[in-house]
Amino acid sequence: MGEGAMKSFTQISFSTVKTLYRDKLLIFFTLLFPLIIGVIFGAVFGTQGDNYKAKVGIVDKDETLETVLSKKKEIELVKLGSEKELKEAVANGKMPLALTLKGNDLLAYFNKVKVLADPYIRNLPEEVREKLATPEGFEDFGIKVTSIEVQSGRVKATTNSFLIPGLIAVSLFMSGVFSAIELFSKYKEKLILKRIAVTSLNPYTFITASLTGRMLVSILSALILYLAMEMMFKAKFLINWPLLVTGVVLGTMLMLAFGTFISLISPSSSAATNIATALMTLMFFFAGVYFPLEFLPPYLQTLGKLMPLYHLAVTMRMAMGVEKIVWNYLYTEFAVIIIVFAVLTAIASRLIFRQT
Amino acid sequence: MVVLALIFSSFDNPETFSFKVVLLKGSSGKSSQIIEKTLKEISESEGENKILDLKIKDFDEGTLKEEVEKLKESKINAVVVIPPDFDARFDVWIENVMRSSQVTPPKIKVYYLKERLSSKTAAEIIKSIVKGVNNSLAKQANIPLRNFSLKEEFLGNKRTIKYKDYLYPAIIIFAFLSISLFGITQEVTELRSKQILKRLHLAPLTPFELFISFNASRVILMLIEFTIVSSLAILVLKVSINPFHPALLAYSALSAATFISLAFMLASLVENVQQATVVANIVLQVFQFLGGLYFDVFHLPPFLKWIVYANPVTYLVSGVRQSLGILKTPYPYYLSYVVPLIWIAASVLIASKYFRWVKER
Repeated sequence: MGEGAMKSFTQISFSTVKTLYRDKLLIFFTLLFPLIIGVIFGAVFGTQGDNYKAKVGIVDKDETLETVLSKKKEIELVKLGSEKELKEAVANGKMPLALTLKGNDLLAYFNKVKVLADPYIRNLPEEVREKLATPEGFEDFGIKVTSIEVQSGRVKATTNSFLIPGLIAVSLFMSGVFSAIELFSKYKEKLILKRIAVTSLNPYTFITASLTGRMLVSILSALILYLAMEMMFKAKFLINWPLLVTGVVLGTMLMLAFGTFISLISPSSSAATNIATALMTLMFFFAGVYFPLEFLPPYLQTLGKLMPLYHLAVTMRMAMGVEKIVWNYLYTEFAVIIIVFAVLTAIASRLIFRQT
Repeated sequence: MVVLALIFSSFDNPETFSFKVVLLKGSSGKSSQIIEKTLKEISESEGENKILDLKIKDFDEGTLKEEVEKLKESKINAVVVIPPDFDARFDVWIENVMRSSQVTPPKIKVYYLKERLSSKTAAEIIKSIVKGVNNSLAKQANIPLRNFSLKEEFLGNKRTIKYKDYLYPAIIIFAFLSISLFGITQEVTELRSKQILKRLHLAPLTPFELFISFNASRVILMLIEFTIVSSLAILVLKVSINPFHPALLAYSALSAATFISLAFMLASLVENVQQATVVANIVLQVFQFLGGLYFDVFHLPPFLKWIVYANPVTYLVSGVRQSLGILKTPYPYYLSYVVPLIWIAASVLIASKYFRWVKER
């Protein structure tokens, strides 16, 4: 690249950064939107992390149940005056489960909706029944099971430390996809590319510089989001910085390629935006960012793994120490991203300038 | 709706889960075979859905390390280890347990990933299976187990519900909210920016007629959406709710009125299309996730709880669920229609004061 071309490249890249940060919509989608979602989901599901205790109600005179349940550290015991009060509290959603003993009958009252999110509670009454059935002196009778917690990543993961890398992936997705749509669809419709084509500036320099500027915006937005989420949720990470930087850069390239693909198949920029928004909504649910995919039917788990956002979220988790780094997976992923990005961007550039 | 029902309805059907468990056996005597045999029987049980997908291997440190690595990569859900000294310990324990409580019981180990719900659940299932084995051992040892029975009852709903029944009215409310925010707030702002609203204002139609016709077009969209969602819910997902239930129709109408007035209020307050898009998106995300549409939100910390209680979606969806016998409201029921009515009144007042036909320079 000659000196003149280098100067044009640098100027266009930085002016792209300045222009994009004046775009309120872009700031919303890359920063505010993931932040809002992160705060909501962090508060909703993050309360079910290490310190989570399920509320279980008993009648305050029931010493037998109190003795059995007080030994369980995952339970927060709530004592009420009567069985009627217990049933009301469960029906009103104040607790997922209440237990009461009537002779040799253990009565368990569940709140169906609360229990949906807490499978452990569902099995608790049977556990309590077995404990009650065991005679004194034989509580420890039988084969013992020693549970050994295994840590997948370099840090002990919590719900929030799982969520934050996923949100960074969402931010990269938004800025990458919508940036590519702007460049390849909107600029074409506004005849900006046509005007560039008649100047002495090499059109491919313009495309590369614009993409570089967009990549810088993506990286900066991801960094701001990470700092904001860390301050809010105080989640602990052990970051592999080279992997994180590579992941962010290549992740942005992947999303730019994805946005380019959408621009190529869409008849107009508004159609491209609508397609991107619809795919974005689908990906949010199936990419395992907000909801775990573990309990989905296998065919839907496979669908989730076909989505680029899934792989970007996994890469972010590996880089931030939440999941174990699997180098074969990463090398394959990076190679695919580079090839796809190069091919799609080259095709899009040729088509765009041929049509202008 | 299909996506959410697929994700969450698996909790309604726990028998569809299957957990990958690896058993590493360090001993092969009669005692360790009790555990192996029990796990095998469960994994080979008849029927389509086997809760355990079991693989059995011989124990050694290298194999354990390999399987734990697979566990870390979530390729399996749990690793069960019967240690090499299990049989010897079991024999000593069974001989002496009735005479002395100081005898150390034999142990097996279960490795699991705490941050993965599926792995945690698999570990709980293994513990539960071992408890079953212990009960059999207790019976064989003539230990007098006390006879306790368990009776379960689900409260808060008048009938048996599944997650898809819980979700169905929520999706209708979400659809109406979405149509209002993007079909009114964004659209009206765009019409104002392009000065089309100004030209319409100069037409022989009165403002009232214009509003009515505009709203009528949105209501038609809502009716179409209602029909599509209900058809999907009844025919594909087989929900047990009648779409013509008076409560569902009444709350749908109330939702439409609430969101249309809210959308006009927002359209009066924003200045341009970009602002309208941002505001519409923020309101949509906050209202849907903090309105209790998909999951319970009444346990949130105070800095978010006030949004839940100020949000009209919370009352609309809780109100319709109680009326349909799905779930009781955690507040006095009359608030389910009073709060949305307050929102309608406030939105209409603000919109009538601030609505502009022309974009200010």
